[in-house]
Amino acid sequence: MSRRSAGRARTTFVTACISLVVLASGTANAGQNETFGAEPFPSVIAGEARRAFAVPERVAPGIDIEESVRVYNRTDEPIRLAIYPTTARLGDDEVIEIGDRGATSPLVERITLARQSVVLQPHADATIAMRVTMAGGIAPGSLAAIVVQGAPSAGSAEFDLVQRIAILVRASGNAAGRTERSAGGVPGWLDVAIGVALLASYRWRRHVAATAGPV
Amino acid sequence: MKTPSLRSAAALAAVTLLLAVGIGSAETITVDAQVTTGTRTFALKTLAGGGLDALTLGAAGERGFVTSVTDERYERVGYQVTATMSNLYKVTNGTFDCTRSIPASGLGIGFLASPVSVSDVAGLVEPVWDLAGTLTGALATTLGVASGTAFAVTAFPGERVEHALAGTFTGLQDALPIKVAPGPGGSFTAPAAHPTCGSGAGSPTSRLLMNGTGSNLAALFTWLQDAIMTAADVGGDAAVDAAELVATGAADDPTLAAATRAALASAGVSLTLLDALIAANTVTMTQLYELLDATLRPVTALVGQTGSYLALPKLTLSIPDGTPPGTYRGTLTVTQVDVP
Repeated sequence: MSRRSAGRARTTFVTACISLVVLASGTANAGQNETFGAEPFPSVIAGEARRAFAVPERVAPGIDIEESVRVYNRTDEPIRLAIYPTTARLGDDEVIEIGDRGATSPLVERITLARQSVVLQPHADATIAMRVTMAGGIAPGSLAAIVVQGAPSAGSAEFDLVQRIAILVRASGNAAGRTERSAGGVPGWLDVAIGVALLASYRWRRHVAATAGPV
Repeated sequence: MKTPSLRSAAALAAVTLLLAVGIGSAETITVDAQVTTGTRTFALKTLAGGGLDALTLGAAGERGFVTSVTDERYERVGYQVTATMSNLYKVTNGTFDCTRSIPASGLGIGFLASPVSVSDVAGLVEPVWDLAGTLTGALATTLGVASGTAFAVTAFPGERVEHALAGTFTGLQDALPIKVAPGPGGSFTAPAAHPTCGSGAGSPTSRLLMNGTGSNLAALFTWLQDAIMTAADVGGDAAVDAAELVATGAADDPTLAAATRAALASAGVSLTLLDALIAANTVTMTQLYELLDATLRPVTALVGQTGSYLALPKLTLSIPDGTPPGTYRGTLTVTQVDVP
């Protein structure tokens, strides 16, 4: 990536950080609880629904991955949501163990979210930019999670309840220039963009996904 | 006549049809359909069905609750619902004493006697039909072709349809769109961080409350195949023709009419003549549809799924000897994650 391209990518990310997009609420392909929902954004690329983020293990030097998480409020009241990256690992009995806020791993350290919390008006939504720094590549099989967490319940009993919706971030391991599904079935859509040109911005990627489709 | 259940599902999904009408006697129609848009909602409830804001264990030292996941035309993707637990800290007048605690390892997840239930499960499918017919006798003469002239529409996309599996679970338990299982349970060996007192392990013990995984769909596909054929078989004669597909809404009439016209043109019928005959009511499209025997291609995929899945976990507490009396409080965190 040229210095100018890198600068443009950086500018794009900064712009995304500032311009938190608030749109009308929608629920396409969303995982949700009774209060809020979260999903990768866009939720559908090249005709494939996304339930997780698939990150290539290695890209051309200078490229970072930019993504977005859409969160929305299902209630008639304003709500505050915390959004953070954390660890995820396959534990005993194939349980995917999602870490606490602040838990870290080599992959988690590479993930930056434009916002750590957001207040959503009734039935509003917001799109939060996310960047995965790719310098040096990502260890094969790396796993992390983006967690959207509601406020603790205000109960008076022994146990407060906190509800979280997690979106997995997986190193897909797909070869650049090909579109294929990872073993779990997540479309390796990022590879589509990488196979065509450099990743610069989400808008550009969406354009590629819409016009070029699978390579 | 049986009406396909929830055929309106098709109207909820924007489907773009790209008609690639060739010139062979068998026509191919390519379908480019958008991915199903749906939702997966997880919820925590009391056993009485109310909202679960907090848990009180009471004298029994355990409390059951309900974890539910409800899919509405959601793509077929597995999921997990897990729980982590912080230590319990002594609290007085709303202030935590972080030096006095009950370790999370004294708490655990178990399951009530009947731990899992499933209801209102339905599979969303896109049937594909092959249609073939023969023009004979006076109709063939009227249309200007020889008696015995064949015409066919291949790979015709039927309307997206959702078939409920209610009441048919017998024999299908292993073929549900999502096979639901409770977790094995166990104690919270490593605590999660407490919002006030911290002291988390970073990677706390996660206990599985629900686990929805894929399963062998062969039996389900067979069942859906039969259900689709039965729903379209207006005459009850174990055979389906194109007229029945239109009558039951299993096929979109304008799309089928276009495909049928193209097939007739490929078979040598003049469309100008056909239009004139139809305008004069000498020939009807229904009459032509009735000649087209419909064969359903094997169902091999679910477009989406609907259903509610419940698990009944319970939180248990064992208080260590020597714990000073008082009120202790901790945080139970429940996380839902799709596992594609």
